[in-house]
Amino acid sequence: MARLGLSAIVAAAAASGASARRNRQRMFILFLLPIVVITVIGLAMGGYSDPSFVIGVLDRADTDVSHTFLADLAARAPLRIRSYADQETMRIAVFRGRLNGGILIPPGWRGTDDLEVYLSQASVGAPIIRATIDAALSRRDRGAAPFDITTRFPGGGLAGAPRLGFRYTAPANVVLFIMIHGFVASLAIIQLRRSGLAKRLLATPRRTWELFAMLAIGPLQVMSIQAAFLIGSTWLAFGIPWGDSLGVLLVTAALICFGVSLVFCMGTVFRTPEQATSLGPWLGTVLGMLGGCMWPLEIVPPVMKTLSHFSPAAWAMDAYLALIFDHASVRNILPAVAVLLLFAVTLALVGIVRLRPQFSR
Amino acid sequence: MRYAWTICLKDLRQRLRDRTALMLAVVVPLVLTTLMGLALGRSESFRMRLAIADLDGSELSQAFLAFVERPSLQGIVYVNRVDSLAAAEAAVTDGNAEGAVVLQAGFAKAARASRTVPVEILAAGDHPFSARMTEALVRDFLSRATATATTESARAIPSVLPLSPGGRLRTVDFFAASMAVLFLTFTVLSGVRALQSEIDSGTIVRLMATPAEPVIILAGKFAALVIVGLVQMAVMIVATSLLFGTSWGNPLPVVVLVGTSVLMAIGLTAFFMSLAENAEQGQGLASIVIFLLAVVGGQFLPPQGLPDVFETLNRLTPNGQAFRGFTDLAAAAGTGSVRTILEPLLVTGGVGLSGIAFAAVKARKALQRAL
Repeated sequence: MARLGLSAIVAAAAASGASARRNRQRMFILFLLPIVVITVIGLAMGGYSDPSFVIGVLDRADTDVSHTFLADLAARAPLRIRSYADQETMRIAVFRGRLNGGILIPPGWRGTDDLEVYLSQASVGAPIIRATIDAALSRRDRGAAPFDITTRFPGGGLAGAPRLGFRYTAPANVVLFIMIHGFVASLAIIQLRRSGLAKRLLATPRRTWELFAMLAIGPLQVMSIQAAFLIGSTWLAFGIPWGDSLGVLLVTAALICFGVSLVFCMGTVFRTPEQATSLGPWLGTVLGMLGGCMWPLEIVPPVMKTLSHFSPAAWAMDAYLALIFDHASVRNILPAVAVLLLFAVTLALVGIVRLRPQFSR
Repeated sequence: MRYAWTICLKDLRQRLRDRTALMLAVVVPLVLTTLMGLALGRSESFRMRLAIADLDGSELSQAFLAFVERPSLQGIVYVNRVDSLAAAEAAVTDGNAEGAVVLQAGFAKAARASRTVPVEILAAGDHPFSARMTEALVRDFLSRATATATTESARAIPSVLPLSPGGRLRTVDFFAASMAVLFLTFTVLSGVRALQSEIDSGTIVRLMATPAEPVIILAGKFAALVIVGLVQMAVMIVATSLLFGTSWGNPLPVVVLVGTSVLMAIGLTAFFMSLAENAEQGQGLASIVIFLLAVVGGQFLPPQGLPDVFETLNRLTPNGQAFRGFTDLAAAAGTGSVRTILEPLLVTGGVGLSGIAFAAVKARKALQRAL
């Protein structure tokens, strides 16, 4: 009987795999779309690679004085400087928020005249940039070596820089796309329910656990291949050091369990296939945003940081980021994995309890 | 005309009954905008409470107090005088100040004589910007005070002359425009999909057997799509104005851009729908392309620090152009005009009309085959 059950599950897996392979659009969404998103957002995050402010400079003086001033400014203040050749381009970059400020150094500037600076009115950086440039101007004017001043953090050290770049976007998109897949793959259960096939399945000489395993095996195998592909390809293409292999395996397995539990739960919550395909991806995106798949939780306010851990994505991200950035051991990530599994078990139970009466209706 | 209106009303009723479409049109974009605004919104303005312990009691230490309380720092730095190092430390550790400056005894004398000054900056570890601000203020003050003291004739030390880049665009305003444009295309897409389903299932062919002219039937369907798009944008504009205080700018250019953006959304989705073999495939194709265009156009990314290449990518995508137009109008506030958004208007309008023309030709051929 056990062998019979296993063969039915294997057959369901083969059927699901063949169906996925035939659908080119689905293959693109599963494998290529996440890679495109990782690449684009990873490149964009190059711009966020440290917590410094970004300022533009249009150096019309182009003299030793202006060069020394800018070098001093960049060396002593946490600013990244981008050179511009056109005032309007720089103004628009400040206007649209890509730059925190833009310095205009006029022709013939010798360091004794005021400097015009475009300051973004909606940026936290404006007063700090103004104070920083003022300090650089007065230091240059004074001529002597800078003062020795120390900063102490009595309540604990300065919080670390946000963890960004491809090493951030790769795990973020593994988490995001597995969750989105979980929401969208609930479509299969909805179709079974609506077509009446579910009733016929219940009439077969299969035990309930075998039926549920047959329903789970499809998304389970696709999510496993998807996760393995994303982890492997980002390791090869961007050199992501994923960290302890066993740790990565555990987090990914827990994440996939959560993805499959979403299939069961949402398969009983969504009423129509359109809800799964239209709303599903956005519900996944909302959970991903909340859990730090779109931006690092280091930069969000404390309230959002607390709220974020209501999303399973935050626990998966915590574990992945600890493995990648902090070289954490398996023991360090076990709490996050346990919480993720708890989410998975809860959702799966809700789904299974609701599923049977819906199937027999 | 009566037929067109009847068809339009029927389509609108269908759209209103579709709760999934309504969720996608209004609820999802508002939830996403709220999340983005809450998560990234603290970059809106900078304020800090600065505790100052003047243990020197000199003319120079008093000058420092005046320096940080000057008019240009009002509303930015809130000074709180304390009387000891311990009190300054407590203010920072208890969360009553984001930074503190302790001017030790001998501060004035040392500042004029050497590089090492008995001044200590205390900062809260979770407020890195406050630490930077405090250090910049202390360094600027010391340089200015000692430079003036050592110069025989008083002269002005150069300072920053702030220039406005032209407007104010908060993070939440940025994402309000971004999400409105993105979900406009998804909302219109569900309407275009319904239309394609009618072509696929032959319902349109049956409609053509009625006394209504084909052009009237299509006009009715097109009007319904336009109304759905306009209403969705109007709801988003009103909701974000009320919920987040987003100012979308001068009404006239905003209305014109809403019109061309709706055309763009219809043209873009109809174009991809007409490339597919059936409605389901068309919806999948259009959804992927719209999502990719939004990612490439930087619509999901906070603007600060974004490389300049995203400006170019933004201009190359029609949804990016619409989004750019709305953000420019919001940032330009009352001074924005049609001229401000000429490029977005031309691109969105052009893409819309071209897409609609292409889809119409394809649909006509399909209908002729069916007839």
